[in-house]
Amino acid sequence: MKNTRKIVASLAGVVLLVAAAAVVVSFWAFSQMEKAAEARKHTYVVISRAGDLLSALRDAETGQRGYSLTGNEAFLEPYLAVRDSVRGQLEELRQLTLISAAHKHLDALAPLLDTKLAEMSHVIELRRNHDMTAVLAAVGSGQGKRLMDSIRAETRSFIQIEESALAQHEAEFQSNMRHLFIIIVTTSLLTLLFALSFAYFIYRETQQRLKNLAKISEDEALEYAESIIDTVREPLIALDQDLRVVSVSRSFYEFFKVKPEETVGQLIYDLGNKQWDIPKLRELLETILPQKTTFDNYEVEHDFATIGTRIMLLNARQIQRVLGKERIILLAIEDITERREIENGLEKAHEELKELAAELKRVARVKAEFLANMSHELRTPLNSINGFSEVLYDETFGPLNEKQKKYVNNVSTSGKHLLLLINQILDMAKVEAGKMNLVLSSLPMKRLLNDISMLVADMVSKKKIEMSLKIAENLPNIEADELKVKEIIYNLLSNAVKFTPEGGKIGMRASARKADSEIEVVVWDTGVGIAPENMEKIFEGFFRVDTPYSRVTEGTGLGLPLSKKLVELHGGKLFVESEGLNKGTEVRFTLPIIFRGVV
Amino acid sequence: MRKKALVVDDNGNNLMLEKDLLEVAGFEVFEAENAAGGIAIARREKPDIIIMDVRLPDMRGTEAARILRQDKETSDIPIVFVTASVMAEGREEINAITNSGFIGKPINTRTFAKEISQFIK
Repeated sequence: MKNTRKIVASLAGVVLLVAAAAVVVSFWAFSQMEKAAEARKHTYVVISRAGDLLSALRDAETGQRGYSLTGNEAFLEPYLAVRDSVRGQLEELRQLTLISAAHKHLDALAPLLDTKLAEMSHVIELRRNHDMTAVLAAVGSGQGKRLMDSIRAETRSFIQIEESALAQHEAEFQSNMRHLFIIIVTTSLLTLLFALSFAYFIYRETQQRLKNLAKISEDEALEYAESIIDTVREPLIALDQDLRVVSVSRSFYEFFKVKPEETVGQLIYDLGNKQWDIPKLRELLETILPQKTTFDNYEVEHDFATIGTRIMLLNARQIQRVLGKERIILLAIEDITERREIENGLEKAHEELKELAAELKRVARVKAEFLANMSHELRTPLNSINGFSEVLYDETFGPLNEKQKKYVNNVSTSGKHLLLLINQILDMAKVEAGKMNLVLSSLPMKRLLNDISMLVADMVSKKKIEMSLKIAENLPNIEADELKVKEIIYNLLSNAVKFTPEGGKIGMRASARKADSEIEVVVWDTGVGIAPENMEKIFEGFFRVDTPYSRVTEGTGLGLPLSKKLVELHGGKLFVESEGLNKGTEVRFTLPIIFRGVV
Repeated sequence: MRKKALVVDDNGNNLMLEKDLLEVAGFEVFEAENAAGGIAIARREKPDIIIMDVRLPDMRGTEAARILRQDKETSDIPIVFVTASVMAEGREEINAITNSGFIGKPINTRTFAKEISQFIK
C-alpha cells in the first residue's frame, strides 16, 4: 500500500514537472516570437520611413520644377515641408536604426541631402529673380539629377541593409518557431506519456484492489452462505450454470447418503451413480427454470437406489451473479414422503372413520330395532304369564288351594320382575343412545314425595322398618318429567327397604338449595351399606350387594344406575355415600327447579 | 243388552285372556286371529268396541283400522290397540287413527275390562 502511494506520488510529480517545463518553454518561445515580431515591425517602420523620406524629397523636386516652369508659389509647398523636416527625419531614422552598418549610409546621406536642398534653394532663388536662363542652365547642368541619384542609391543601400536584417530576423523567427514546435510537441508527448502511464498504473492498482476486495467479500459471502446452508434442515444444493454442483448442505449428505468428494463438481444428474437422472428434474432445470427464475413446490417422485422411493417438493431459485454472466441455481429439497404417507393414511383413516360412523349408525339402528323387537317378543308371552297367573290368583274362575295360590303368586311375581327388568333395560338403552325424551311439567314435589313414600309403606310395615320423612314445608315445585322423577324416588326408596334388615330405619329428607335454584332429596337407611371397593360397581348395572336380608329376585341391579342417569338427564347430580359394610347408605340427589337442558 | 266387543289378536293365548276378562265383565265377545277376519266380523256384528293387536299376520292393526274408518257402517266404532309394541316410536300410527286408544302389554287383568269400557261412549 505504502509503495503504491509513493509510486503514485512520484509519478504525479514527474507529470507535474514535465507539464511545468512545457509551460515554461512555451512562455519562453512566446516571448521569443514576440521579440521577433517586434524586430520585424521595427524594421518595417524603418524601411517605410526611409521610403517616406525619399518620396518626400522626390515630391519636393517635382514641386521645385513646377515652380521653375510656372512661378506659382503653391508648387513650393512639398519643398518647404522637406526643407524644414529633413533633418529631424534623418535623426529619427538614425535613432530607429540599430544596425551600425546602416549608419554609414545615413552619414553619407546627410551631406547629400544638404547639398540637394541647397541646389533646390538656388534654383528657386533664380526663378524668383525671374532669371529663367540661369534656371535652365542650373537644371540643364544635371547636378540636381546626379544628387538625387546619389540620395536614391544611399537610401536604397540603407533599405537593403535593413531588409537583410529583416530577412535575418525572419529566419531567426522561423527557426525559433520550429524549435518551439518541437519543444511543445515533445513536452506534450512526454506529458501525455506520463499521464497515460500514471492513469494505467492507477487503473491497474484499482483493479487489483477491487479484485482483492471482491475476493474478500466473496469469501465472506461464501462462508456466510455455507453456514446458512448447513443450518437449514432440508437438503439444499447449489448448481452452476452447467448444472454442476457448487456446494450442498450438510443435510444433503446426510439425507441422500452421499460423500462430499463424489458430489461437488459433479453434474447433478450424475450424482450417486446417476441416481439423479430424473426426467422431471431435467424438465425443471432445463425447461422451466430458464423461463421462470423461481419455481416452488415442484413435486418429484423418484426411486433412489440408496434410500428408496421418495416424494420431494423442490423449490428452485435462479440467481444471476452481479459480476459476470454466471448463473447459480439453488435447489431446496423437501422430503414429503412421510407427510404424504400420513396424508394418505389420514385420508384412508377418514374414509374408514366415515365407514365406521355409517356402520355405527347402522348398528345403532339395528340395536334400536333389536330392542324394540325384543321388547315386543318378551311382552307377548309375559302378557299370558302375568295375565293368566293373576286371573288364577284372583280365583276368577274358581278357588285354589293354599299351595296352588302360593305357586301361582310366585309365577306372577317373577313375571312382574321380568317385566321390570325389560323396562329398565330399555330405559338404560334409551338413555345411553340419547333417545330418552323428557316430558316436562311442573311437579308438586311435596305431594309427590309423600305419595311415593306411600307406595313403599306396605313393604316398610311388613319388614317392621321405621320410616321417617322430613320434607321442607316450603319445598318448591320443579320442572321435570313426572314419570321419571317418580321412578327415581321409587327406586331409591325400594332399595332402602330391600337392603335394610327388619327393625331398621329408613328415611327421606328434601329441601331447596343453592339460593332456591335446585332441590336436594336424600334417601337414607341403616342397612347393609356398601363396601368402599364396591362404590364404583354399584353404577355398572346388574350389580347387587350380597345380603342375607333380601331375596335375589327383589332387585334388578339396574335401579340405581338408571336413577343416576335419569337425575343427570334432568341436569341434577346423584351421589351415594356409605361408611362401609353394615353402616347404612345415603343416596343424595339434586334436581334443578327450572329445567335448563334440551328436551 | 250386553255390549259387543271384538278382539283381534293372532296370539291365541292373549286372545283367550282378553276374551275371558271381557266376558267376566259382561261383554259379548267376538274373536278374530287376523285383520281380514276382524273386519268381516266388525261389518257383520257392528260391535261397541274393537280390541286390536298392532302386529297382525295379514296387515298392521292400524291399516285394518283405516279400512274400518272408511266404511260408514264401522267408522264410528272405538278401537283400542292392545300391543306389546310399547316404544314411543310406534305411537304415531296409533294416534293417527281417530277415536282410538292404547293399552300396552302385558295388560293389568284387574283393570283391563274397566279401561276398555271407558272407551265406549
